[in-house]
Amino acid sequence: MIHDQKTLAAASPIRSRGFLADMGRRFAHDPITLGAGGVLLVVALAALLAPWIAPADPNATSIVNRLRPPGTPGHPLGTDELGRDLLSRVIWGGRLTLFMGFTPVVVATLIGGFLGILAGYAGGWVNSAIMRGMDVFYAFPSVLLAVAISGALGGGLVNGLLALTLVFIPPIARVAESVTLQVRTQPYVEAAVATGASATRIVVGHVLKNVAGPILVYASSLISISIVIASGLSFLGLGVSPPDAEWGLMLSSLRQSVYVAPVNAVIPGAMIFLTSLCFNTMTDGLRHALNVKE
Amino acid sequence: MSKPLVQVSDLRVVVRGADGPVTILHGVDFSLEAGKVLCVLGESGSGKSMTMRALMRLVPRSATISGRVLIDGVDVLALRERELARIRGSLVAMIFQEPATALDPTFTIGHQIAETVRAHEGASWADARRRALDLLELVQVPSAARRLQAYPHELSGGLRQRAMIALALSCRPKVLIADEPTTALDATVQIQVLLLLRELQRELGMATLFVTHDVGVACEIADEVAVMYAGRIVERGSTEEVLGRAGHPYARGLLRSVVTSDLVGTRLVPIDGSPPELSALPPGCSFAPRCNHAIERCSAAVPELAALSASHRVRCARLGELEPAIPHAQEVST
Repeated sequence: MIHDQKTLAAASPIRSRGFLADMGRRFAHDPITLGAGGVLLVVALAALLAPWIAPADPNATSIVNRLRPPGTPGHPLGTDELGRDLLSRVIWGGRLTLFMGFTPVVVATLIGGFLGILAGYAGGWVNSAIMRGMDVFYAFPSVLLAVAISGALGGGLVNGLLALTLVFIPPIARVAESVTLQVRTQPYVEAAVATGASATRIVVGHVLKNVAGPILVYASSLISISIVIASGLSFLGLGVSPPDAEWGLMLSSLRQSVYVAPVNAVIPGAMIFLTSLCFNTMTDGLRHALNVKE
Repeated sequence: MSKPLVQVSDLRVVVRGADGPVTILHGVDFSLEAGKVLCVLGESGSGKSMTMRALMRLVPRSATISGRVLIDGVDVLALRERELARIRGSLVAMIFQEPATALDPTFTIGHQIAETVRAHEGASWADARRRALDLLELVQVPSAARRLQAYPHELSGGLRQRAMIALALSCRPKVLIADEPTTALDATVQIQVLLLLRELQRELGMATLFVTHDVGVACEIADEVAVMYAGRIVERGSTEEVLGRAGHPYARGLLRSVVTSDLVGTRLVPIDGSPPELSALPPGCSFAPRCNHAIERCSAAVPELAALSASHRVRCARLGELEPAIPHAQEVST
């Protein structure tokens, strides 16, 4: 009998743990996700607390101490090509890198989510106008599009963020639209209409709450991509400009010394790799915890 | 005789399909008085659900409704969208077939009921919640106070359907539409929900439209029965008339497919063939191709609903020519 299990569950004392508690519990049983979360927590905390925990001024150069290997007294990760302390620069660089990873995704989720839900719920010509507009952006590979936009706007942090946001709006809008289309045809939406719910109440209440999960999971999977592309822009000289510490930029300037001090040159790249890997792992765990099927 | 609460005349629904328009309803007429239960019987695709949805104008965007629907003096088909939202839930409410999907999984039961009360009556959250609690008690949900905090997936099928009923009753509708409310439930739970619905209907005096394909369910709760086939009512009358002295060959066939313990050891008589393609209905009587009694005349024109008694109407060209119906159980066992 189909209902047996459910009936049993209902017969036992009701323990409505709530959505977040449920999710937390599923997270706790997933050691890999927990590990990734731990690493990210350390990286994020280090970035947040940079002014207090960085051992040295990240921009203080010292010609005599150039390219010291990791383990040098006073410089645990060594120094870069201008003699700046690498550990301090990695800590400070995390700030900009994470900022450039997060901000575009957050902004794009708001804009793309709005456009996608609007397109999905309104349907008809509104849908066509919005989604065909998005398709234009889809014609370009995301990295190329980001490079093209920030190239056209000129380098700098703000233009880099703008470029990344524009790159992420179309995919998020597309996911939002398809999930909304799915939710819109659910019986509970019809049932809500049957109880006399207004269009606003249906969209804000039922649709938004049901599409939020899948959209957030998808958006969080973009953070790691955003970090990589943001570093890429800086690497190409289109994002953050020197002397600010940013992992992509550090990788770019240390690249010239890769034969002299290979370990030093690898450090910022390893940070980018580690962070985006952990974000990806977290996203998988999140998807699992939210039970989003794809 | 009081003035009917629900009056439906010449209700037609046409859906624009990929291959041109398809007529789902070909002019449905019925009326229902306050406090009465009308059961609409029919197979899948006969248009019974569409009829109910058309009463609330809950039809897909590709569908156009014509005809006349008067509910408590309100011309439903003439309402504007905003006025429509006001009567949905308060004048007419609907119970859906699948409580598992007709309740929003992301809100608690209490929230969903309270939200509807608030939307229609402008009550405060506290009042709306108190009302939700009363409603859950009314539909006999055990430990109702705690169930208010439960999400739909935390409830069993039967409890979910009770919550759905509570939601439908939340704004004291005058007309309740139940679209196969027991189909998705276990047999034992079906009976409980059915009895509950009958009790509530009598207690609250609602006119109830009950869609089902289960003749047993119809016997249990209906005052009147309408049998639908391919978008038309082919027979309607009081429960005794339709279930006891069915005139239409399709209605008789439907009754013959009821399985009871009397039939042990006998062969069931199915209705031959399958429901017609709605986009390619035969001319004349839609049931003619499957009917054992069909003659040439049947395919000439769609028969009218002819009166067999004051309340009993049958849409059959050979009405009166066929042998009178005998109770189905005996008919099969002889």
